Amino acid sequence: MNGKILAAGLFVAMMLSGCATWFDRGGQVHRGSVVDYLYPKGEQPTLTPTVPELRLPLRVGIAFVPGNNTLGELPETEREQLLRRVRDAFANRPYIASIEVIPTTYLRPRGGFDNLEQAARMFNVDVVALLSYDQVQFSDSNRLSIFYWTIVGGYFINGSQYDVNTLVDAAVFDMATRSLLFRAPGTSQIKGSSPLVKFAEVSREARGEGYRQAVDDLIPRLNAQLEAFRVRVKEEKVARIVEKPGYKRGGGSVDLATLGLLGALAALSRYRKRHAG
Amino acid sequence: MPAERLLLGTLVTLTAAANLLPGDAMEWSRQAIGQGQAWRLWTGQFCHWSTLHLAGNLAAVGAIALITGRGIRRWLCALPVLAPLLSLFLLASAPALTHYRGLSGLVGVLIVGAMLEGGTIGRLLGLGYLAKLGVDALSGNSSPLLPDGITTTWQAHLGGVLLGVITAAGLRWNHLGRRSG
Repeated sequence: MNGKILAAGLFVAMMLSGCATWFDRGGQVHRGSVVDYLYPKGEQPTLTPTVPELRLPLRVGIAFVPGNNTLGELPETEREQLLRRVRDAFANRPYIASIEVIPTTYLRPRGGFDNLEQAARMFNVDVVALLSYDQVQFSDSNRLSIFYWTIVGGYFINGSQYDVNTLVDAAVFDMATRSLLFRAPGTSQIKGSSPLVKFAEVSREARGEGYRQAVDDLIPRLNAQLEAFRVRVKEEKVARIVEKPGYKRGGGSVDLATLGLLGALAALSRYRKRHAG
Repeated sequence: MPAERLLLGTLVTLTAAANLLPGDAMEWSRQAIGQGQAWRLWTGQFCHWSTLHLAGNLAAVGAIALITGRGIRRWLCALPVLAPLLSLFLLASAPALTHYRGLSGLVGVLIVGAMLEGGTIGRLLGLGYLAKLGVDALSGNSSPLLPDGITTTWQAHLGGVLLGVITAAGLRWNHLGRRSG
C-alpha cells in the first residue's frame, strides 16, 4: 500500500515537473563581443596619437567575432552568407580593391589583436571589419498553452511564443595602428508563436532571420558611417590617404591662377563691350 | 537649330546627371570602362570630386562664355560629342591614371573657341592658358579646388586643347564647304 502511495506521489511529482519543463521555455543568449575578443584580459586600449595611414585602394577583411560557442549559435555557413551580403554591398567602391570574407574558424575566441593580425596577414588585408553580435531570445507560454494539457494541443495550438532581439555591430579597424576607424550598428526584433512541438525549429529559424534583418539594417548605416568617415578624413584629417602604386585618381580642374586670369579677362571684355556700345 | 538645341539639352542633362547621381558610378574609371561601362566615357568628363570642384569649373565656363559671346554656343554643342573622345585620349595618354572626374578637359576645348571667336582678349586667354598648361605639365602642380589625394590631370587639359584645334579645323572646313557650295 505504501508502495502504491509512493508511486502515485512520484508520478504526480514527475507530471508537475514535466509541465514546468513544457511551459517554461526560458530564454537564450548568444553573444560575440568585440571587446572580449580584442581585449581578453581586460587590458585597456592603448591611446597613441597616431594618425592611421590608409593606402588606397584598400584591401578589406570582414569577419564575425568568435562567440561563446554555445549550442544554437549561428552556423558558420550562415555567417558566411551574411558576410557576403555585406561584402557585395561595398565591393564596387573604387577605393576598395577587394573584400575578403574571413571565416570565424580562422579566429580564436579571446584571441586579441595578435590573432586578428595573424588572420589579416593570412588574408592579406589592411583593414578589418569585425562584426560583433548580441542576440537574446525570450520564450514564454501564452494563454493558449492551456490546450497543451490535451496533448494534441501541443501539435496544433500556438501556445508558445518567442521574442528575438538581435544587435549586429560592425567595427572597422586599421590593422597597422590597431585603431578603430568607424562603426555602425544594425538591429532587429522578431516576435512569433508556434505549437509546442515545433517551437525549437521555428524559434531557430527566427534567430537566423533576426541576424539577416539586423545585417540588412546594418548595411545602410555602415554606408552612412563610411561616407561620414570620408568627410572626416578630408576635413578633420583623422586618417592620411596614400595611394598605392598603380592607383592614381586625377581631377580635371582649373586652378586659382587660371580662374583669376579668366575673371580678369571676362571683366575686361565686359568693360570693352560696354564702352564700345 | 533643332540640332543645336538637342546638343545643348544633352549637355545640360549630362552635367546634371553626372553630378547628381553617385560619383562612383559616373566617374571615368579605367577598369570599369574596360569592363564595358561605356557611359563613363561621357559622364566621367562631367562629374566632379566635390561641389567646390564643380563650382570652379562652371565659373571657368561662365567666364569663357562672357569673353566669347554668342559664338560659344556651337562650341558648347560640340562638348557632348567630344567628351568620349577626350576619355579615350586619357586612356591612351595617362596610363597610370585609374580614376578621373572633371570638366576642365572640355574647358580646354572652349578655350580654343575663345581664342578664335573672342577677339584679342580671347587670344590673350589662349596664350595664358597654354603657358599655364606647360607649367603644369612640367611641375605637376595640383589645383587647390581638388580634394586631398587627387592630382590635376594636365593630360586632360592638353587633350581638350587638341580636340579644340581639331574641332576648329572641322568647323573651318564645314564653313569653306558651305561657301564653295
